[in-house]
Amino acid sequence: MKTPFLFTLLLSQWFILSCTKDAELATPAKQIVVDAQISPTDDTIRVILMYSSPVNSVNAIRSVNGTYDPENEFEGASVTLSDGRAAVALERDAQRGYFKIAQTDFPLSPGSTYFLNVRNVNDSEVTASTTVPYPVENAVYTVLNYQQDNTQYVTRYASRFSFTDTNNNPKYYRLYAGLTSSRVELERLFGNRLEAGKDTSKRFDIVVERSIPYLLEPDDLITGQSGYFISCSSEYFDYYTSISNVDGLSNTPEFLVEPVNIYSNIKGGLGIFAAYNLLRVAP
Amino acid sequence: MKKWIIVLIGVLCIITSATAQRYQLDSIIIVNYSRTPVKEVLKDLQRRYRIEFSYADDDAVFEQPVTLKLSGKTAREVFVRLFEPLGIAFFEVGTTIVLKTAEKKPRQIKAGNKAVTLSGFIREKGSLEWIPGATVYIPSIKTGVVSNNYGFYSLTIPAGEYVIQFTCAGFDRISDTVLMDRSMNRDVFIVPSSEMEEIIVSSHREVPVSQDTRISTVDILMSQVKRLPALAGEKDVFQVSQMNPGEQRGVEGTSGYYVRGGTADQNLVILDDAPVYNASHVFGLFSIFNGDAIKSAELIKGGFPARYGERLSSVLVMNMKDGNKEKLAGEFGIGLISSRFTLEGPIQKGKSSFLLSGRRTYGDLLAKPFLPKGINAGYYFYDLNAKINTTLNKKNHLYLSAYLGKDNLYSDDKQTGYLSKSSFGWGNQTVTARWNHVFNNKVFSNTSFIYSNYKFKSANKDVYNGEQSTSMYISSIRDFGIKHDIDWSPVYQHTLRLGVRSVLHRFTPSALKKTGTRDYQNMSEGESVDSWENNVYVEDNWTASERIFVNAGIRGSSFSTQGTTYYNIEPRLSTRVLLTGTLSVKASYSKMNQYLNLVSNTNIGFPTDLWIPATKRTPPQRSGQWALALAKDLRDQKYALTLEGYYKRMSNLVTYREGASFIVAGIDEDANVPENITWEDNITTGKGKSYGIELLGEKKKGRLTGWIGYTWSRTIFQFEKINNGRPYRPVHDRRHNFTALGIYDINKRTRCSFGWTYLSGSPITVMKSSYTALTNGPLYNLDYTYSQGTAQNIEMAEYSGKGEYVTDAYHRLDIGIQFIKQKKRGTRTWEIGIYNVYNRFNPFYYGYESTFDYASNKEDSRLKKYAYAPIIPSITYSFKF
Repeated sequence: MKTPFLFTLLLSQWFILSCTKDAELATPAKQIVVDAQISPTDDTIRVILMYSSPVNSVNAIRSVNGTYDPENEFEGASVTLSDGRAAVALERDAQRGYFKIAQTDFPLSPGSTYFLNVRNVNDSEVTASTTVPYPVENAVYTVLNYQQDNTQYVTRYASRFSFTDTNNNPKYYRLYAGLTSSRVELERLFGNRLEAGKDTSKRFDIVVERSIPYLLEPDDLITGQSGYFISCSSEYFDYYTSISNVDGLSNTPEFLVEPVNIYSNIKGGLGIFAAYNLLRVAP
Repeated sequence: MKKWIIVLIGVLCIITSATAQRYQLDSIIIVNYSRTPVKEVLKDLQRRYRIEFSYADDDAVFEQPVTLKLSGKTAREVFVRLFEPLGIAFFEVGTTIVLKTAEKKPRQIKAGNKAVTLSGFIREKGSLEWIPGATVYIPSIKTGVVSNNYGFYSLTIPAGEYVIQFTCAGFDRISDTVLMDRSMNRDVFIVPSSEMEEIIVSSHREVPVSQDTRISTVDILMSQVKRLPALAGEKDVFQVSQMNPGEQRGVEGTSGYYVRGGTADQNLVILDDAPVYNASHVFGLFSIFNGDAIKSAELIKGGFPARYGERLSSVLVMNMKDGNKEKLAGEFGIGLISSRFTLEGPIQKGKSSFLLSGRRTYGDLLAKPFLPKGINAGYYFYDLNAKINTTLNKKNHLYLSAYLGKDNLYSDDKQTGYLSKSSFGWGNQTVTARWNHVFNNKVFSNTSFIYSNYKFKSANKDVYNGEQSTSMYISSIRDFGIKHDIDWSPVYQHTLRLGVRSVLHRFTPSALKKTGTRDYQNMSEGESVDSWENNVYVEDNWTASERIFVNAGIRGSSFSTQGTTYYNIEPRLSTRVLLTGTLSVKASYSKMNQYLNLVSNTNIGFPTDLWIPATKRTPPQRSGQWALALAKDLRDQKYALTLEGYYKRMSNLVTYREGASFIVAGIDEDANVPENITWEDNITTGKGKSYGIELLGEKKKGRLTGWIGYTWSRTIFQFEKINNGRPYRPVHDRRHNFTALGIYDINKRTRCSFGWTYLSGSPITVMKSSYTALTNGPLYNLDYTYSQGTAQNIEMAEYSGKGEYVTDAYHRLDIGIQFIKQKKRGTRTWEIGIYNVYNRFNPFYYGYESTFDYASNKEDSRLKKYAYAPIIPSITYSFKF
């Protein structure tokens, strides 16, 4: 009696654990993915192009060996940027697999709207536009407090970002605190505060407070601090807002997370074409 | 769609053809009856010769015993000998013999229009269990009342002589002629339909559906539950309940069920007045309710009486058995995955009794010998129901009942110098103390003290080289409540119900505690929130005329939490109008408020889902539901047909915002979220609407009984922070739902049954493609972005629109056969069942699998459909004594 009983039990377990099948889903079309975040404060305008990897198909692994286009799928593509009056074609950097142009050849101006057009050799085409914001004005960065808790290996850091703005700015901001120390010379950025919709005709303050593990070692000394004031286009803001919704979820099983579609302003494709302006201020 | 209509017609044809064979009045028949009620004679003739009779079932003449022994006579001759002495005329209409008796008027008492009250308890003969939901009906004045949850009834009527019927599904009907010249108490003892006899299978009480005053309400009979096939032989109230139109099961592995477009948290499950917050085991495969311990279950989907509230979509009211007051009785069963027992008996004969019922799975115990040394892992669940009650005197009864249940998934890994223990468990505890008091024959009261606790707990402990660390995550809801209800039958045609209720809810939506050998490992976060919920209600059951019945009520509620108080008024109205003797139209409106929310990740219902209160930021959920129904009895109540339509609007619905999960609240210090993010930051509110049509065809009598149900429905949700604010189809918006359920008594010792369910596909969100997104921060210096290749790459998914992908349909056939034998000491039953007979690969979850080939720099990504619970045979032995 015992043997068939156990056999039936194990058989049931085997059935329960073995049920997986391919789902019926027509393979979606491959789409051009654009990443272009342009700023007058950057010396180069870069447009990274990749293809999406549709499910139920075999695709190249992206961004390997230091290049974004390992299969050279965009070799021969036409990438143009215009401000409505003049247009320039961006040049492909074969080593890095993206398209670029120096700002000296096509300076970006705050308040101007730029149009991006990408056409690949297979006639697939995507377009997008964005307006470069003005930098914030009267920016003051104040470190309110930082405190090392060596028992918890945590640094509690509070700083204030104060600024006014020109009235024609789009009222979207991203703020960072930056810090270098005697042990870590490369500046670490933290905070990443997105703000929108403020009345910028008046001066306003934003206080960023964070408790950051291992920011400073017990005998570490702060050697430099900065406040990063980023004024940004609405596309930039929406893109990073949607990305922040999935930040930190990479190790979470997908069925325990609400699906998030990342914002895109690319017509005919995916990704982002956005503008920002950066002001770095010492306290 | 067309396909299914053809199938539906086909099934109906099969059922009707079974009864379509003709008899002849001149056919020879044999009768041999001794003091047998006429009704039983008619049933027997119908069974043996397939003769259809039509007669007034409520006429006392058919209760009269007759003795008749004839052979070699034609049916016509037999009928003359049988009916003439009783004053019954018979004539043939088509294939049916219509029986007509002389009309009788109730004898009026010459005392003016004096009103008298008939009251008492309806109890089961033998065990003395109080029977809720039994109907007391007086056909001559078409007035009736239903016994309350404690078996008490009270009916105020004009003085007179009446034939009074006492009926309850699963029990034999009792008719009694009573001279009501004064108010009187009458306790009635009804007898369960014999196990060996044909039973009535119906989703309604034994009153004809056309006369049932309720709308959108079904009774789930324990006799049904025990006769139908079940997964691994575990008899399940939910499984039968979800075969009704309008109610839709979640797929295997999800704990939720959905009623008329509502979400899983909008269903209130009550066990002996205590709410049960998670009513499932094994992630939804089994309900927590052990069928042996449950006396009655009623599901209300609409037309809510004012005495019920708290949730928007449904109320499932269950009562535990009280325990046999006459003799020690019990039942035990041994199945493949679990065993169960029930023991009940008198503490003081006729006055007090106890019930103890338990169930435990033993997969973990059986697997233990096969596990590697040092490892102990497994899963089990158990339930324990206990109840005692006592009758202090004729006017006072006390009850104390409790439920305790738990699921536990555990793993211990013990090796030299290393120990790792983890567990993942959840469970409910409820305790209810009740006091019934009969003030007089018109007023009955019940006072309940209620405790309910649901807790999900995940714990880990690691010990390595003398250092240890522990972590514990808890999510729970705990209720302490008191309620007082009064049933009052003040005047003829009116029965009032009124009551108050006050509950303290203690929510702990998400608490995390870590400890360790080192100081920095110690942390604790998450707080409890206390909320007060208060309700007051009054409802009137008004028999406006012989044809019109109205249930009108109003419910007031308040909810206080974190300095915010909400007040709401909920009007309720339902009515039934008898158009003919067998056809009625019913309509209802219900406004509902819900102050408790369950936030759940979309794709799956897990015990990890969080119960949270309405707060200032998340106002209470609200709904308004209209329902309209037609109910028709056919062929002497052998068949019943119900057609219902509903429209429901919902607001302030709550769900997780995009990207939120119960796991990650506020962990990433660089994410664009406040440092101390709370569950309120993770949710978003929205609105929804649902409408549909439900059709239920029942065959209530005969050797083959069962029903066919069909639902067409549509549900749309809209949330501010989901799908960019656009409307979408939620995961439970399944267009068609078809169910068929049947029980066939092959003979007195063998019974077979089947249940078939079809649900059209579920709208879900799937990934269409993946791509690399880049961010220029925050961990990398902006100045180095791109030029040093330090931009942060994040693998992103491009999803279909919310709910745009429709999964494969869900359908499943279960069959079972029972072999019953009366033994010297009780009844033995062997049951063989097959769950998912044709091994349908029903989708449980859709996910992705990627394989990488780094040599060719290629990635192959596939959308996969996962399923479990394929064909599962079972065998169960049970013995009832």
